[in-house]
Formats: sequence, C-alpha cells, structure tokens
Amino acid sequence: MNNFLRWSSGCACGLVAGIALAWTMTGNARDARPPQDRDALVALAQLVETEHRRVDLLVKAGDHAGAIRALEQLADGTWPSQARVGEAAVWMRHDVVGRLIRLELDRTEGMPTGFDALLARTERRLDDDGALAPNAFTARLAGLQGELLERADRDAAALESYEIALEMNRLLLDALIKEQP
Amino acid sequence: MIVGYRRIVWAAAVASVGFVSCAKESVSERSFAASDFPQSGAETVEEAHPSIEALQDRLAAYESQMVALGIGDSAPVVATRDGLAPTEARAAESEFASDEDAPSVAESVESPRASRSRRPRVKESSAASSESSAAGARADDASFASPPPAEPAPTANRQTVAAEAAAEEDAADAAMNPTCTSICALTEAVCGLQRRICELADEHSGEQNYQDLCTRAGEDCERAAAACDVCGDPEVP
Repeated sequence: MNNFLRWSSGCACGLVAGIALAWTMTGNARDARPPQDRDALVALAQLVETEHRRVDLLVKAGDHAGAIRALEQLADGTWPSQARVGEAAVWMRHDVVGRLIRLELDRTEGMPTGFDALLARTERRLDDDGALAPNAFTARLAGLQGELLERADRDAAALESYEIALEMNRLLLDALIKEQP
Repeated sequence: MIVGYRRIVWAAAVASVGFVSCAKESVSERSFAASDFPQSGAETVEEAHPSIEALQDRLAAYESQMVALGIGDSAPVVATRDGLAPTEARAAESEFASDEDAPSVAESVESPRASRSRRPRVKESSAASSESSAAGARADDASFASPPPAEPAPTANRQTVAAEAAAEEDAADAAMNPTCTSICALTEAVCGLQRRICELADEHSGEQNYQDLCTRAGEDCERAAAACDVCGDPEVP
C-alpha cells in the first residue's frame, strides 16, 4: 500500500513537473495557441472583409482615390494587439497595406505620389510586426517592397525583399503540396 | 528514494515530450489560420452582392461591435466615410452585381480569383496583378462559376445528361477545392515574382546573385504551376 502511494505520488509530481517544464520551454508554442479574444478577431475579420468589398465597388467605379483613402483609413486605424487577437490580425493588416500599395503603384507608371511615405509605410509594417509564420499577405507585402525599392533604383535592397517573398511563398507551397488531394 | 526520484524524472520527460508534440501541432496548424475565416462562397445569393449602403451599414455595425469589445475608443478601425459612396460607385453596383463574390480577406492576395479556375499565364500576363486585372479576372471567373444553363439536346438520353452533369459537378468540385485554390493563387504570386526578379536580373547580367535568384524563382514557378495543373484545372489542355 505504501509502495503504491509512493509510486502514485511520484508519478503525479512528475507529471506536474513535466508540464511546468514544458510550459516554460515552449514559449513559442504558447503564442501559437488560438487568440485570447475570438470575438474581437471575428469582428475585425468581418470589418476588413466588408471594407474590401466596398473598395471593390470603388475601384470598379474608377474611384481610385476613394479606394485608396478607404484603405489608408483602415490601415491607419486602431487595430487590436497581436497578443489579443493573434497573428491573423497582422496578416489582415498586411493584406490591407498590400492592396493599398498595389493601387498606388498601378495608378502611376513612374514614381507614385508620396513614394517615400509608401516605402516607409511598407517598411514600418514589415519591421514592426516582427517574425511571422509564412503567409501570403506578408509575402505579397515583401514583394511590393521590392517593387518600390526597384523604382527607387535600390536594386540590391529590392533583390533582398524579393528573396524574402520568394522564400515565404516556397514554404507555403511546400505545405500546400503536402495537403494536396 | 532513488527509485522514486527516477520515477519523477521519467514522468517529467514523458509529459514534456507529449506537451511539446501537442504544441508543435498547434504551431503547424496556425500557418493556415486565415482559411478559417468565413468565406464569401458560403453566403446566400442575396448576401453575395450587397449594395454600397448595405456595406456601409454592416461596417457601422462591425465598428460598433469593435468599440463595444474595447478595440479603439473613439477611433475605430474605419474612422470616417465621407466622400466614399459617390454616384459612380452606385453605378458600379449594378455592374459589380454580375461579378462573382467579392474576395474574402484570405483570398485577396495577388488576385487569387484570377487563378481559381485558371492556370497562371506564366509568360503572358503582366508582372504583378493589378486591381484592374483582378476585376477583369473576377468577371472571367463569374462566367466560369455561373455558366449559362445549357439547353438539353433533344436527342440526348438521360444517361448522357446525367454523366455530363456529374462531370460538371466534378469539375466544379475540383475548382472549388480550397487547397487547389490556394495553390493556384500562390502560383500566380510566385510566377509574378519570378518575372520581376528575372527582369531585374537582366539589368544586372554580370552579377551572380541576381542570376541565382532568377533561376530559383523559375524553378519555384514551374513547381507551383505543375502543382496547380495537378488540381485538374478545366482550362488546362
């Protein structure tokens, strides 16, 4: 009986110790858990989705200025923190900024108005948002950064940005090919 | 005492391995969290083509919801909308209504609609997807997604009609497969990048790092295009 009690208490202590050890060792894994506030994430996703639809209508009507203004307001608005809604919110913001840059670049063949501001906006998003899991939105933004740098005759920096985009897309492709039916 | 200590160590190790493997699984799942978002294809026909007023009402509702959730006090994500909904936008609504569903957040990258049912045109299309080409592509896709109803031939027997319907259904299923949609969208992005990189490499013909990246990008583009072809794209000959 005593042996059994000792054995079971040993196992219980070990289990608790193991979980505690693993918990401290896997900080990154904890970050990967679902967002704390799913309601906020869903509300944000719905809002961004709806704004994209409105931008579709504005673009269709040829109102590029209106579309750009809408995307700027969205990109510059208050966004919930990554800690609260998870990494998906950062991806969504990259999507919005990417679409904004694309519209600006398509509007003018040469150097777009406020070119420095566009480049700064792109760099701020890519630098401030830290390391992210591979995703198509950030990859596109890196590619657009390359395009902007290329127009500024900073070809070496452009090549670096293209490489980042290419690498991220490759990781995504590898994962998708594994999932392919 | 030593035996008890060993048990503790073993139990700790087992628990750690189990916990870490669970955590890793969670990390790998996160990479595609965007696909969990509501897809526009799930909406009803009425919801798929809302008017600009309806969109603004929705935006206002979502903003209120976000403020209620404590995201932005007086400055919600979308601050003001003055000057947005011009007359031209209203005019566009009727035209837009004939398009396929507007892209969802997860589908907005590099005109993914353009590649839903079409292999990316590696050599022909422009370097990067533009808003205008994306709109055009959506219109193209609309014709694929909602083909005009075919009139049954008077001599066709029921079996033939059923087989054709089944084949169409299979083709539609293949086109709607989310993995295939993602692969083909990614192909569009990778091949667009390849064109840009190789154009840049042409300007730096003497520099090896530019040539190397061009080669790598070409390989990725071919690999992605092959994967997209495997998806059974109906437009692939």
